Amino acid sequence: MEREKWAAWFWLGAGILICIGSLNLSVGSFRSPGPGLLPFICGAILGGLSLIVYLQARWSRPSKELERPFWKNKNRVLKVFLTFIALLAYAIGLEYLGFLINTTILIAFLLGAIEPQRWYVVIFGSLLTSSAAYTIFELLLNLPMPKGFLEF
Amino acid sequence: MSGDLIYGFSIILTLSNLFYCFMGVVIGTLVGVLPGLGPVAAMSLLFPVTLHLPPVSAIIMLAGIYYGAMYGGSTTSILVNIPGEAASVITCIDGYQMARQGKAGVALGISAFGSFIGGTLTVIALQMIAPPLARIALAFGFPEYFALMCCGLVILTFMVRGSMIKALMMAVVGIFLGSVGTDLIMGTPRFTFGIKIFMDGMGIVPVIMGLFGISEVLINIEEEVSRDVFKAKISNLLPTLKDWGESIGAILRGTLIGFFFGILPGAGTVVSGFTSYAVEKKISKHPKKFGTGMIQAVAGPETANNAAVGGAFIPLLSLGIPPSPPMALLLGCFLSYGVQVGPLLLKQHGDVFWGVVSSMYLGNLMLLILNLPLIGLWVKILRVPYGILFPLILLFCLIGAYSLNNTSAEVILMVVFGGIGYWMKKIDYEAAPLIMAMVLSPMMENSFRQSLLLSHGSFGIFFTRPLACAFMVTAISLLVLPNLPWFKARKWTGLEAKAR
Repeated sequence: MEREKWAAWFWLGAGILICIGSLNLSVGSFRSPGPGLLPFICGAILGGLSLIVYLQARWSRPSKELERPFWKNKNRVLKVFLTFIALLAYAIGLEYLGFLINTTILIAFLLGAIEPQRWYVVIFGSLLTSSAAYTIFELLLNLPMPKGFLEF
Repeated sequence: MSGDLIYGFSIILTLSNLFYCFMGVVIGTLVGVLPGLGPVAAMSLLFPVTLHLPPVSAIIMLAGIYYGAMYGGSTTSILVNIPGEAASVITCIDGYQMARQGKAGVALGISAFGSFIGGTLTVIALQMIAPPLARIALAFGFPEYFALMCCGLVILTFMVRGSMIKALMMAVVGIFLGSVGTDLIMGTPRFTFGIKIFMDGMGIVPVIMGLFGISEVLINIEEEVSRDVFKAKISNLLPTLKDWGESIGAILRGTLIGFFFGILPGAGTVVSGFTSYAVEKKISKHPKKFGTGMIQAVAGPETANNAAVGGAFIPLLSLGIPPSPPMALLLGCFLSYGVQVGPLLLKQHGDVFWGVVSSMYLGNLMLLILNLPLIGLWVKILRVPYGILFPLILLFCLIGAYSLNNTSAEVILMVVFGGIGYWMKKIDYEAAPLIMAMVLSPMMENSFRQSLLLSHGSFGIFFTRPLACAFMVTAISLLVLPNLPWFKARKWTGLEAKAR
């Protein structure tokens, strides 16, 4: 139930922010709708519905479905978090490091740290995957991949 | 009609289009077989590759992935007891039991034949219904379109299995996200925060890949996917006359159910499978045997999920309204290729419509011929540990997102939505209404504002025109209906209880 309430607060906040942003864009009137009208309506409905969700969570009896633990496997939460950070780092570093280096590092990290494999699987797997992906997408399908500071 | 179909076959029967159709169904089957990589993620991944192709070839391939995945999903359900694809969840129950009794071949065979029959019959219905529906839709004005889209979104939120209020919230968030970018009427930038890629609107493909692809991998990492692949030799793939006798009724009923639910927004392949199972159990003389390996319980749902794909093309191609996330993605692809789907599609791009319809006949046939002999290969792929597979899935998503506009900003957007999708799954908020609303948002806003301009600000325009009024009344009724106490108790709880 607590997670329902927190989520409702989050959406309520989002709704209020959308409404404020829309007012800055000029809402106009129904006769002459402005660019902010639709986002404003969305923000208002989102806020209203999140209040209903909050009140439902506040007054309804706790059900088994909603009482299940937030983390199904607490021991692996760190792995999820690390994977997400690794993906974000990959996305940010893609244009600086280039596709080949960046991809080799990411795959090596995922194979080595998230679902640990033997050392030779990590090394050869990451090298093979990044070069195979480069060959398929850059050379065969002509999808230009970022070169990075080393220009390859 | 037959002349149009012959025209369609003249388009598909070229070497290049046959190749793309073949690639689509093979990739589709592969993603269907692999748990954790759905058709939406696969279609998103291949979308940038298809940008260099003629629109008809691109859509043939992407559509092939979608219906191919429906075939592939059953293999994993029957052999591993894990749904390869969400639509095959219900097949696990009796399919896996059949495999344990040494009837894996029969289960796989009847799934493939049922999928073929369901898929083919609904393509016939698609070619018969879509053109007249498109002619009717030509009479639609802005108010009718707005009311129809509202109705579609409300039906979608009504059909979701969780809370309707949460689904409505996600639809509203989707409409808001769809409004990000330059305002089409006044040219004002909205919620772009100076980010260049937002000026043309937030990309639907990275959002879909994040919400469906990345989040699914994150969930699987947390829950530690383990697979115990069925090891016995798989034989007798061709069903006997007795098998046919027991399952033909289920296949025909599954076709009807799948077709109907395919058209409805939000119901799609998953609900059609559940409904087919529930119907088969209800009418069976031995309902208590369901769950112990009944062939009808495999044939019906597997037929229904394939039939739903054909049905889903009707609103997309004739009205321009996607009833499910894969169709929303296809709509995005159509727009990227410069093809406007909807009532004018047949007039302006008849080649695309008839080419896609004809490709579905051939694609279903290819799947039937390919699937059964390739079972051994799919089983081998299933034995690849998830620890090796998930980096590849993530890499495909990353490359797909980058290739959209050759910018890492799209990759960042996808990863961020991956995190949001993971959190949404944890707190039981569904992504489907968000995606559908996001795709429909620009059309919806344009229709809404134009309608208000036409009516000088009066909302009466949505209730004084008969068609618009009918759509609005349906939408309002569906909003009110779930709050009636007797209905609350009956909705999905009733359906799922029957399925159990």
